[in-house]
Amino acid sequence: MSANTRSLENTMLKTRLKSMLRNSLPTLAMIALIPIWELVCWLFEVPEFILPRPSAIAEAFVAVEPQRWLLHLGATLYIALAGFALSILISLPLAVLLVRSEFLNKTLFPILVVIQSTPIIAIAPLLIVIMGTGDAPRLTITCLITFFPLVVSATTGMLSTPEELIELSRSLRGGAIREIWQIRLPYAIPHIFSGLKVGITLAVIGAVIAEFVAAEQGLGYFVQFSTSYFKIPQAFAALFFLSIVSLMLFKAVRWTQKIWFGWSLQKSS
Amino acid sequence: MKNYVEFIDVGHEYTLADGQRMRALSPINFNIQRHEFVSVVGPSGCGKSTLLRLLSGLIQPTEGEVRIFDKPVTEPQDEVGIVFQKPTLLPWKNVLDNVLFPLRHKFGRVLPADKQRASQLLEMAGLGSYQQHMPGELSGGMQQRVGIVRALLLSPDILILDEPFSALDALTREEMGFELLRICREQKKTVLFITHSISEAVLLSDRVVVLGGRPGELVDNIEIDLPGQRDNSTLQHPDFAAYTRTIRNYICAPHKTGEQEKTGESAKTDEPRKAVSPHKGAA
Amino acid sequence: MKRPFRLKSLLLTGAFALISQATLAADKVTFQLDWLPGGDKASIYAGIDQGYFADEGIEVKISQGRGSTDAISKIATGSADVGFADLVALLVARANDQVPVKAVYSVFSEAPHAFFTVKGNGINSVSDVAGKKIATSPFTSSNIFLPLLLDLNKVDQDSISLVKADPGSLAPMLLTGNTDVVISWITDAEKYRSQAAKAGKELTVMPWYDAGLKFYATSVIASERFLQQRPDVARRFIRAYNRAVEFTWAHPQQAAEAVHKQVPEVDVDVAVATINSIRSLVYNDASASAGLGNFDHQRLADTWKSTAIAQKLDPASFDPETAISREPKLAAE
Repeated sequence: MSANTRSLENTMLKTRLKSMLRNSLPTLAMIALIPIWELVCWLFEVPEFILPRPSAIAEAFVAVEPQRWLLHLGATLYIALAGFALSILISLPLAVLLVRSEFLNKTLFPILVVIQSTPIIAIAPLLIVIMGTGDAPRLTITCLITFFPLVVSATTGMLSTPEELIELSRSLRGGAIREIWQIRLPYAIPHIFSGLKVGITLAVIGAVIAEFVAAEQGLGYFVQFSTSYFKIPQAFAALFFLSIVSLMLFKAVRWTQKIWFGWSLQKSS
Repeated sequence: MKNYVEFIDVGHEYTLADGQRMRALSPINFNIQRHEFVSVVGPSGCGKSTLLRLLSGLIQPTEGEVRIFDKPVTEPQDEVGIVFQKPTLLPWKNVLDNVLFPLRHKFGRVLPADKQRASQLLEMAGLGSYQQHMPGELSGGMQQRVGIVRALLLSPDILILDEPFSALDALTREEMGFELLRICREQKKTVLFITHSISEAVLLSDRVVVLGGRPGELVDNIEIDLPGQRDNSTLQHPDFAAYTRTIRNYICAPHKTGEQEKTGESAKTDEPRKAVSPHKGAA
Repeated sequence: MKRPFRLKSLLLTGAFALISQATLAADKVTFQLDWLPGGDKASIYAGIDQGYFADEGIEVKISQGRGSTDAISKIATGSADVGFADLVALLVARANDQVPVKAVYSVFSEAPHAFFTVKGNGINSVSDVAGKKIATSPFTSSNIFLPLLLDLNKVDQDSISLVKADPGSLAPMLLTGNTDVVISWITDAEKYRSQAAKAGKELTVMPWYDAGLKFYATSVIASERFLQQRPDVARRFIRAYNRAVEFTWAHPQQAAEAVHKQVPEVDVDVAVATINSIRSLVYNDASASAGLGNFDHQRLADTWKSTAIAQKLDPASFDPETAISREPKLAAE
């Protein structure tokens, strides 16, 4: 009997260990890569300006005071998040319009596609000239880069609402606003969140592009500054910082979905 | 008895996206009386769903007139509650809120009295202890029960059900049928029940309207006269088998039912055929 | 009836408060850099740090830029009042588009364009680049003058192979031997030199001004609106800036520290080395004869002529004097 419980405990422990291992596998893989990278750089004497060693990157990271990092981080986060919020504020009503009106869908959508396929980096300098050097052009660039996946995912989500629910709404004569607000938008939540997850990483890219073109602060600016002074390890450090920030924001979106819209995760699985 | 629902020469044509018109329903006539349970059976594509949409006022007939309580149906009616093929509950609301949804959607708010009523209805449908559950946590049958309760909340006199049990397994299906019957008797509802299961139609209905063909037309209108309360024992009654056979013959071999052609006259009238002798029908 | 009156008086008081504040406070001037901060831009930072602008009652706000054209268009659109830009870029912009921007002070009276190579490549003068591989960044104004320079030094243009690459990749290309020569600016020489030292190599710099290209480069430019509407501020600004230039090359260490203080990303050592290495761009025969910051008529005419030839424009189509305003500098003296 006790042997039985012990073996049960054993298997439970094993499965738990296994799942822990599975969850941390990506992190472990990344950590394992670091010594290999260091070794390769050391063995083949790879020059720093081609590929700096992880130790050099870490050194460069530590060499910059934390306040500096925070300053640049804050600037990038501000642009990325504010631009992202703006993008949500624009794209959701836009998606509602596209769903409600076939005319707008036919006329507006091609324009959106044209905007989406315009390389933003090419028109970024123009935006600066038009909008001045404040936050406006940076927010606009971030917004332009992120809004398309949001519009598309929200539109698809709202259109995927079961026809029966729309008929139920019509049979109740609840009106267009309640149809959107109480049925279509909530139904689109899983889609909207997949759009948000794509969008938030794009928002960081947008902020960085904006900083490349015009900025005096921010991680993108810092990368550009570092490369222009040939401080490649410092540029790499900033890049790593950027990707970690990007990853955190992505996770934050997932947590938001889990905490406030847990049912939408259940549905997709 | 007073006619609650009248279909007077009702036919319908859809306009397709390319501008072409497609006939879904040839003009038909039939009535539903007060507290009557009427089933509509027929092969797929015979216009059953069109019938539902016409009665609920979601679409307007291109010919004829649908009347409820002697008034033409020109828009969705408060007197009509709909239960769909799929439960289509809102996955982000719990069972109670799903039941309350029509009220919230129609009036924008829900009163404590409404909540109480919803609880009572759920209790009656055997879902009393599941009020706080999310739809995803319920079985298909339970979800459909919530769907029925949701349709009952606004106290419609007329209940339309569109193949409500088609996604359920056979056992659940029978049980749900009797449950529906019980609820409709208790709540005194007039029911239009759309199904493609002949036995289900015979088992539950006071009358079965048989549609056939493409576009759909009324093939027969049969009063089901089975003794006693409908339950499992009804399935054993010899007339039950006879009724199902008659209807099956219409649906499976509509062209060779020469015998019915003679009595087919009655199909064109709004008078239900009085007790087609099941024995005769079983040729 | 009372409320509108009160509102009006309130507005008036507010307006007076604003006006009196404006007269009391320093004149605000936005200065537009033509690139990221560094030792080559030390003068403006030193001027702020030393309080030269404050002495003239001017408060300078520095705005970073991304190239001369960027700086010119920002000043033209009013985002900034004054700034740095390559005079050649300004001449071209004025000849083509009549942008309302004028040059008011010459900072680099020699062009900073140069060939960089590493010792051991067998290249010791500009004429040695014949038959070599040369890398340059796609948008630098140096590219415009390359054919002219090659002609002056009798190098066959077809003999060289020109590669265009991102500015950040030029140094690695040179140090890994992917290219024999790189076209860059003397202002960047220090960054290359320290990078080369890490790779165990020594940098050779061959300025184009030694090879016959004589013209003005980085200048202080100002919008015509600024010059017309606030002429007095313009004069005081130039007076302060002139002091800043003299201070910068007299005290490179302090000037470099001034940059670092305002932009911590800039290393003091690199900035000091840069200031020293570009001294010849500021203090040379041209500036000695015309006076620091002044534009000489003949040299200006030559600058435009070379530019016009290189750009395939008609030299007679535009008078370079119209792109210059000597008034603030002269009045400042």
